[in-house]
Parts: sequence; C-alpha cells; structure tokens
Amino acid sequence: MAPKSKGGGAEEKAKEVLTAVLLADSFTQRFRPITVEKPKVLLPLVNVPLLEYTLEWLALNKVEEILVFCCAHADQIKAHLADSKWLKQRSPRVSTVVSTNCLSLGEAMRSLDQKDIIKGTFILVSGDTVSNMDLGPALAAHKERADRDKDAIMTMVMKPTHEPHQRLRLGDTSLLVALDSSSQRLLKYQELDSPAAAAAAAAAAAAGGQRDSSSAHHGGHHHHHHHHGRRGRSSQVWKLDASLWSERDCVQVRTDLIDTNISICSPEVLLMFSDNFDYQSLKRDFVAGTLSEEELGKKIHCHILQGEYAARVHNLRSYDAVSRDLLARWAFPFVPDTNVFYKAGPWGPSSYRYARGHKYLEAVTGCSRSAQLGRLLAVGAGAAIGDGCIVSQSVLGRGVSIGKNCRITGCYLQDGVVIGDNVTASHALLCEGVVVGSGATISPGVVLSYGVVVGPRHTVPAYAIVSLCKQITTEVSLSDDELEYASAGRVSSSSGRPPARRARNSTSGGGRQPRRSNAASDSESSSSSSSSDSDSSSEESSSSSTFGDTLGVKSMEKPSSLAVKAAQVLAGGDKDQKAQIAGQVSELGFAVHLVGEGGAGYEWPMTDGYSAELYSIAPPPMTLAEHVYDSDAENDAAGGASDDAAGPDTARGAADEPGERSGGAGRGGAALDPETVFMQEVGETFLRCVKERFAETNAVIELNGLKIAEDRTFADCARYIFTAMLQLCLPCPGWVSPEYGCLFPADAPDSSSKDGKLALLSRFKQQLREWGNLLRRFLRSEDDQVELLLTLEEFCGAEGVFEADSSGTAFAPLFANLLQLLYDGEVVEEAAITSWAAEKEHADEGEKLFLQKSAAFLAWLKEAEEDDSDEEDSDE
Amino acid sequence: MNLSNLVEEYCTQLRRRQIKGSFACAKKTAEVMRLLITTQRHPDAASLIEDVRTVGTKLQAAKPVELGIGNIVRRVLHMIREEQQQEQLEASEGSSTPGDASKGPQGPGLLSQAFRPGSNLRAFNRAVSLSNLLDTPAMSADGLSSSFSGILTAAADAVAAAAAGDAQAADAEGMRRQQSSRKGRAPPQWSSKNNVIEMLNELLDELDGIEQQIAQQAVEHIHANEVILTYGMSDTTFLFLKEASRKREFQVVVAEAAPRFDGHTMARQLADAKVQTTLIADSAVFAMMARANKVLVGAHAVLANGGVIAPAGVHMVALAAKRHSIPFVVLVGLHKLSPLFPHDPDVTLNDFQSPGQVVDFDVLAESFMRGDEQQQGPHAAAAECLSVEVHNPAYDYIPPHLISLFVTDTGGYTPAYVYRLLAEYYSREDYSLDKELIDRMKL
Repeated sequence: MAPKSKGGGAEEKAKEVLTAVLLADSFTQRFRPITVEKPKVLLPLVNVPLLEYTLEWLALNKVEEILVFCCAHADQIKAHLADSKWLKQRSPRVSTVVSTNCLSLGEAMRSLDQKDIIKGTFILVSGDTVSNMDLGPALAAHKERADRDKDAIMTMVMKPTHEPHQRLRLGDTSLLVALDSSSQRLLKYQELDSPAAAAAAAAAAAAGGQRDSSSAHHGGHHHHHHHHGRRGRSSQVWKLDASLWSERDCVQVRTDLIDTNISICSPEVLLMFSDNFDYQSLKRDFVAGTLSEEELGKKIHCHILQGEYAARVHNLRSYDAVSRDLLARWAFPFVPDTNVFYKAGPWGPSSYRYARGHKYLEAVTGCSRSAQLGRLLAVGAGAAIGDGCIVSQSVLGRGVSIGKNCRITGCYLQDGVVIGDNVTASHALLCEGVVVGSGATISPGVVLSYGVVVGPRHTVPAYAIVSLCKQITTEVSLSDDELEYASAGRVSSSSGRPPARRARNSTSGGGRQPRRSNAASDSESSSSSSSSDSDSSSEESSSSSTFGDTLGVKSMEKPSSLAVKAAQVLAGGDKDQKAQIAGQVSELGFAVHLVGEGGAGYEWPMTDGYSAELYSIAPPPMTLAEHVYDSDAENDAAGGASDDAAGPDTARGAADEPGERSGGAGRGGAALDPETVFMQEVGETFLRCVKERFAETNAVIELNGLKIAEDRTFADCARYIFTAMLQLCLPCPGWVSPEYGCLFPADAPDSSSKDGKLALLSRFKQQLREWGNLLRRFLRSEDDQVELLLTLEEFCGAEGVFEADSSGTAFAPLFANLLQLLYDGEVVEEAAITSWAAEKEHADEGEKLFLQKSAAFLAWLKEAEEDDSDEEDSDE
Repeated sequence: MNLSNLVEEYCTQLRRRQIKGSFACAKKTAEVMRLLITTQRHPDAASLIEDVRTVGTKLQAAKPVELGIGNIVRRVLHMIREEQQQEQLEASEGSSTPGDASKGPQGPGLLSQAFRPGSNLRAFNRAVSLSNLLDTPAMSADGLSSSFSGILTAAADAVAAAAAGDAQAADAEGMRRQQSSRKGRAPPQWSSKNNVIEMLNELLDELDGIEQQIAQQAVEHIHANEVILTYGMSDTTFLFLKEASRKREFQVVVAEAAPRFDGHTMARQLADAKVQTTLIADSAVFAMMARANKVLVGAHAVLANGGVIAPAGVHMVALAAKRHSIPFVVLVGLHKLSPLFPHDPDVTLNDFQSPGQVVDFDVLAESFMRGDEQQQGPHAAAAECLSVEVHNPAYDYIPPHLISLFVTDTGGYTPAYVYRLLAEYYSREDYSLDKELIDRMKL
C-alpha cells in the first residue's frame, strides 16, 4: 500500500505517490435517523452515492492511492466499493482501512498513524465532498512551501463568498479567518455563530484596536467584557492577538471564506494527532491547537479557490443546495449527463441525457404525456410518472412510481419510492422504500427514512422526521456510556458521540447555549401536540439533555423486524393482511400524528439543539432568514435615526420573551430593543471608566472598541456618554448594575426650586469638567453636535430610548442652562446650536418646546455673533 | 491489465473530461483500436468488424460530443472492409474452384461469398456519387451487413427459394465453425490483419502530422499586409499563423472568446511569435470585421452537410463575416470529419459546462433568497420561474452556407465537397455506429 521506496530521501521524494485519505464518516449526527441504517457517504445525491463524487474528483486530480477510512457501517461501504468500478481499475488504487471503534476524526488520524501506511503528502477529505477543483496549484504550492520550510504542514482550501445568504443556503456556520496577506499563512481560525458576529469581529480587527495582551487561546467563546456576554449571539467580540501584527505589516481578517474541508497535509499532521491524544476535531482542536502553540512553529496555510466548485454535504440544508448545484451544472463535469458515475442494478449503467431547462432523464423513463416536468429535474431509469403530475426541482431515483395528479416540488425521492395519486409534496427527502398513500400531503422539511409508510389523506407536518427505528433515550452515567458502545456496536457508533459533543459544549460560550435549546424545544413542542406516552417521555429527557451537562445518551437500534414487516404490509398488502396485523400495529405504537392511519414510522425528535428551520431540506422561511441577518441591518438603521428605537423588534422571534422588556427587568438584555441595549452598554462602559478612574485616553479606547464591535458612529457613542453624564447627576437609574450605584448621588435635587436647579447644574458642570474632553473626542463634526442636542431634547422629554427612564425630565426646566454650559464648555459650537435651531424652526409646534425654552439663549448667541462679526468688520 | 479494463478506464477518462481536445481523443482512440486489433484473436474480418464496432460504440457513448472518436472508429472499420473486399476480390477471381479452401481465407467470408450475387459486390465497389446516392443505403442495408449473422441472413435472403435448404445448412455449418473456433486453443487469425495494422499505424502517423500539414499551406492563404480575424484559442490556427508569419507580414485580430477567455492565451502566444496582434472583446467582432480581410478559425467537428461544430461564439463571427462578405475559412484536420448530419439522433451538439465561468457562485445565494420570498407570497407556483438560469454551452453549430473554405491536411475544400471526402474515408454502412439503431432501421 505504501510507496515502496527504501532508497534515499531524494529518490523517495521523486517517486512520492499522491495519496488521499477519504474519511467515510463525518463523525456528526446531522443525517440521523437515515444514517442509522446506511452510512452517510452512501446516501444518494442526485441518484449517485456521495462517496462517488469524492472518489471521482480525486481520480480526476490523478490521485494514485485512495485510502477510504471506514468506521461506522464499514461493511456496507466495503460492499459498495467491491461492486463499483474502483477496485477493478489500475489507477487510482482504492483500498479501505477499517477501524470501527473510532468516534472522532482525531481517533481516525491516530489509528492511521499507528498503521503507518502514509509516508508522504496526502490529501485529507471527508467522503461528502463535492468538487471539481483542480488540486494541482494547491498541491504545488503546498509542496513548494514544505520543501522550503518543513513546518508548513498543512494547506486548507477555502472558497470565498460575498453574499451573506450563501452560508444560509449551504447550512454553514460563519467563519473568521486571519491570514498573512503575503504568504497566505493562517493566523486565526474561528467558527462564529452568526454572520453579524463575524462582521463585528472583522470591524474590530480592522481597526487594529483592542490591544489586549492575553492570548486568544483555545477557540471558545471568549467575551471581551462581561457586558458583552449578556448580549449573547449578536455582539460577541473576538480577540486577535496584537502580536499578529508584530511580525508583519499586513493581516487579512476575512469572514467571507467558506471552509471546504479539503486539506493537503504533510505526514507530520498524523504525528501531531498522536502527540496530542486529546485532539478530536480537525478544526476545533488541531487547527486551533497548532495556531495557539506558536512556539512549536508549525504553520498552516490557506489556498483560496477562484471560480471552482467545492462544497460539503454535511447537513440536510447542504444536501438540498448541493443537489441543486449539481443539476445546474456548477460541478461540471460531475453532472448527470456525463454519466461519469458507475451505476449497477436492473436498469444498467447510468444513461442520463440533458434536456433544456436542466432536465436530466435516463433513457428508460415511463413518463405520462400529460405530466409536466419542470426545470432542475433528474429522473432515474424505470421511474413512472402518472397523468397530470407536475414535477419540478426534484430528483427522482430509479424505479420511483408517482400516481396521478401529484405535485412534487423540491423533493428527493430515492430509488423505489412509491407515491399514490393526488399527493402534494414539497421540499422533502424520501428515502428508499418509502410509500406515500393517495391524497397525502408532505409538508416542507420532512424527512422520511427507509421504509416509512404514510397513510392516505394524511398531512405530514412540516419538519417532521420519521423513521422505522425508534429512538431510545436513556439517562446513563459515563461508565454506562462505554457499555453502550460496546454492546451496540457498529450501529450506535455511527452517530452517538457524546464525549466529543460534551467537550464541545463546554468550550462553547454560554451565550449561545440557551438560545439553541429554546429553539429546539420550540420546534419539538410544535411538532408533537398529541404524542403518545413513549414520545412525550423521550421528548422530556431529550430537551433536558440539551440544557447541558446531564446529557442523556441516545442509542438506537436497527428497526425492529416487526416494524419493518408491518410497514411492508401497510404499504403493499391487501385488506386481509392489513386486518391481520392490525393488532400488531397498534402494539408497535407508530406515531399516528405524523404518518396517519395506516402509516408506519416513529417520530425522531430533533434533540441536538439544532434549528430545524435553518438546517432542513426546505429553504428557511424568509422571516427566519431575516432574523439571522437582521443585526447588521439594525445597526445600520440605528446609526442614523434615533426614533427607530421604539417598538419591539418583531424579527427577533421566538427566542425573546416580550414580557422581559419592561424597564426594571432590563438586565435581561437580549429582550430589549437594540438601541436601548446599546445605550446601556455605552452607559456601563462609561461608568466603569468613571469608577475605575481611567485616564481619558483609556476611556476612549474602551468606548471605541464598543463602537466598532457594535458598528456604530461616533455620534451614537457621544449621545449616550452624554446622557450617562446627565444621569450621574441624579440617583441611580434602574438599568445600572449595583456595582456602579456608589457613583450616583443619593438624592435628587428638586429641579422646580431654584436651589435644586443650581445644585443639579453644578453637578453637571463638575461632570463636564471631568469628562467634557472625552465627549468632545466623540463629537467629530457639527452634525454630531446637532445630534447631541437632539438627544438632549429627547432625554429631557423622555422620548424614544429614554421613554422607560423618566429621570431626564428633571433636566427639562434646565434645558437652556445646559445649552449654555455645553457652549461654554466648548462641547457644542455656536454653528451647531444655530443649525439645530434652524432645523427645529420648521418642526411641529409640539416639538418646539425646548426651542422656545432656549429662545433667550439663542437670541444672546445671535447678538454675540453679530458683535463678533462687527468686531471683525471693524478690524478690517 | 486486459483490454476490457483498459477500454473501461479510457471511457471513464472521457466521461470525466480528463482527455481534452478532439485531437487527443482521436489519437487515444486509434491507439485503443490498435491494441484491440493486435491483442485479440479474430478468425475473420466480420468478427473483427464486430469487435471494433462494439468497442467503438462504447467509446463514442462515453463522450458523445467528441465526434472524433467515432470518426477514427469508422476509419478503422473502413480499413478492415477495404481489406476484406480486396480479399474477396482475390478470392472471387480464384474461385473457379470453390471447393479449394486452402487458397482463400477460411470461414464465413468464403461461405457468404458463395451465396452473394455478383451485382451486390459490384455496387459496393462503386464510390458514392450523386447518381447512386439514393440507392446505396438500401443496398447497404440488406446487401452488406456488418455482423457475421447479418451476412448469413442477407445472403440467405438474396438466394432463391430453391437454395434455402443449402443456406440453412451453411448457417448451421457457420455456427458450428464459430463454436469450434471459440473452443479451440489457438483460433486461426485473419490473414489480412497485418495489413490493417499497418494501415492503422499509418493513420497514427498521419494524425501526428496533421497540424503541420495544415500549417504548410499557410502561405497560400495569407497574403502580405492582410488583417486576419480569429476567435479564441486554437492550436491549429496558431501554428498556421506562425508558419505564415515566417514569410509574410500581416496583422491578427483575436477575439477573446468569453467566458473561457482563451483568446488571451492566443494573443499572447502570437505576440511571442512576433505576429502583430490585436485583442478585442467579442462584442467588437462585428465592428472589427469591416477591417478584416479574412476570418480564420479552428473547429471541433465537420458534419456531413459541410456545417461545423466550433467553440461557442464562432457562429456570430461567421454571420458577421457573411454580412461583410469576408471569407470565412475553417482550419480542420480530417480526423474531425464526421459522416453524421446535425439532425442525426447520434449527434450531441453541445456540452453545457459550469456556469461558474460565466457568473460568480454567489448568484445562487441571491436567487435562493428571492425564490424563497416568492414562496411565502400568494404565487407560490410562479416562484420557480423567477430565479436566473445560467448557461454555458461549449459549442456552436455553423451552417455550411456561412463557410467559404475548409483548409484540411489534404488541401482546401468547399463545404459542398465534404460528401465526396466522406466516401473516401468511411464506408457507408458504418455511418451509424449504434447497432441498435441499425437494427431498428432494418425492421
């Protein structure tokens, strides 16, 4: 297997066999329950097992030796390869490495290292990669680097995307990557939660601020300041070690890259996995570890793809997206009509032909004349489509049978699926052997695993996942874990990976966890309204498990033979047979609310804190998409107008409880509208500066960091610094955390009395003396100053953001005096005041209140100005 | 490694588009054919034809758009048939003593000959011309069939009812022989096979020399101070221009050929070869045509009607040339000459390649969201029509009336002459390689 070279080093290099390690197990659970019965790499994608795409692509790149590393379902993968053309061909040589007890990539790599079969540079891919990329340039670059510097151990291939929805389409999480611009060396690799966070991080890094000397060790969700933690997902601040800049002039911080999970590795990578026995995941452990342990000097580089296609099928969302891409020919030559892929079975080799509108029909298809075939469609041999059907954007496997007058949109029907008459199905995945009764409706996002039967005239609810396997949930201790694995063998090892997951949970920040479990339990409760006993118990334990550390370990078994038999009879048997097994069926306790009367299948609850809407086969609903991406928009909008702060943010959706929004309970944070939250954050940051007696420059840095993280303008910060200063003259308002309470005066001067007014003014004067400079630094232009005056107005009137906190009204009678003080303190210039006044001149009467109050001051100002100009005139 | 695996591997490479260009495909096909003929045992011409045809069909099916593969297969078949004829002719001359088996080749060749009416043989020898254009297919359909059994049945048809009993006997005898030949350890080799191999080697040499042959004619076609317009990259065209530049001063205008932009490579190479070169956008072709004296392009395939399949965008250039009455010259090796018509069911005119060359991948995300938006609305069904479909066809079909001249390795021809060339290189019964199709037509 290994290159047979015992000669000198130079000789060995010349003869080096290009090897690829293909991981036929992705060590995740995204495709359960399908993967309980069949490995993911054998899941057909446009009627061809996923594995074939990766193998073909490697062969296209003239890889000579491919090691298929099998863990779960190794026997099935081996059987598939034995049937295929791969073992018959000279090149590439495909061989399997079986190690059934591997539970993570790390273990797989260690096992490979032990077997000592890889000597040279190798390509590491998972068996779910679909690409037409030319590996040549990346390989050449890697080898060139490795020759120069043997510490350059790995090259990761990334693909840029500029459209934020691309990630949503491919079901990817966001990624923050820092690169050395000249050498493309990877400096930081950080998976992010949401694109908004990515944008914030990029902004923070771009400014090069945040010179925080503590190292950005170990991936996790670090929060720069504790008040950021409160905000949860939308305002994580990511630190970049300032030392990154010390060695180079230019660092690229990019959030537009999608990791293709294709990497070119030197053999040292295997060694490093062996050395660090706790490394599990390639990205979270190995890459993060290598980058943080700079003293070892190992280097990882990036190769950025241009124009070529590379994607992974790592969840149902990407399954749908990649299927469509394949049909739209993005991965050419891997399109159905080149018939590249080997296909066996009763219908012979693959024989697709192309037709206008990206339709691919195999030579023998029995399609009714009155059926309408829409665009983006692949129909396998032997498929029969009945009269009056409308089928589009779908993949129909071989031998699929569809009755009359069906509407099929965006569905993936694997080989041998049978669909009755008048069925409507959209955006669903139906595995082999599924039978759908006449008149049934399959809602978007539904997954029906092998052999499931849906009863006639039943509507399968959206996002339902149905399998003939029953999910068994048990609460067990750690020692039982091992027992579980030992006894359940291959089947359970395919997917249950609690140790790895637990480790992940602990590294990920608390900010994300609660929201996720919320979403999970939401989707569960909505999908199971009338569940049977067993269902509800499993639901309970599963939702509790998502909350954290008392994880219930889920194991599963192959579908019981009884269930399979019953399903078969329900699908195809005659009345007598059905009557015969009626008793049995009721005993089996199929989930009737999902599959209907006469259906067969159990509910498979979504338990791993995974948003069903975002990652299902169906495109996410628009509202949800907005929800994910709205934070950017919010920030943009908030930068300009101040009056958009009112009203609850509806897009935030299910995770937020409207009740939390009341003023006093404001510490709930996430429930408040973003403007208020921002106000409080600026306030708290400012208060912290006051409390810890920061020098002005340090305070500027702190506030600047916040401004960048939130993507705000200087004026935004100035507004709230100013209001915080005003509030410091009054007793502590509700939103301030108790630790800063001591900064506030205990009493409130009565601003209606003259003494009170004077007291208040002198307090403010004191504040202004101390922090006026800070304020000035955030007021960059006349417009900013006008903005400040408008804020003062709002504050005094308790409008907009200040609605909840009416303390500002105390200043209302003092408006003109405040104006004077600001003018005297050179915070606001004359020009700003005049333009504010001019602006207000045309406002409604109601809004002129403060203008009228300051009329005297304005008049004085005008006079003084005239005097000035007079003087100037006389000077000339 | 046995032959079938090798063929399978070659097919896979073709499907994967690993072998690029019709020249490379043609050459590789010829090599596979040589291997097939040299390594396998064939007792007679008919079985060899059968084998070559079976493998040829497989290869062509692996990449239907590459007509060069089929052309080479047909050339090989034609060679075998010529050899076979030669043999039959010799045999019939010496067949005054039909029982003399030792003289002629063994097997059904002799048998079938005994039953074949002489007129058929004569008709076969006649070259295809206008006068017999209409009656040849009918003749070939029932007179001469490729397969062994075909010959027998055809022969049986031809012979009068009285001979039916003999024919059956012959049939049975033929079957027996075939069986015995399969069982036998070393079945006899068809005696003329070496001639075929020799011809095939010549063909391979010929293929290697094609570009040079074409380039040598350059001086005859390019005159001093001419402005030549070309489109995209073509090795043949480049060598042609380079050769001409050794003797003549002229200018070349290269259209960039979006979205592959191989015109950029062409322009660079020409400039390196010291040819005065101008690079233009495709959209400027029409405007530039007024200044050109000649259009020179390469082609992917020449069809039986004199039309060509060429890189996408050439049709537009041809139309512009027609409009300005500029000669439109196609440089093409005769391995690209296909006996198929554009309307033949066998002809796959196009390869639709990745839209990635035309537009960024991100466009998918845009249309993804838009489509989704529509689904929420009341017109859910209309949603699917809205998102943009991106096409990137590789080829154009250019009808013969737009082409002024073909410059081939054997000289210049007009499109109207193509059918004569066909008769020279291919046998009519091989025009369609697909056996199923032939059978269907017979029925």
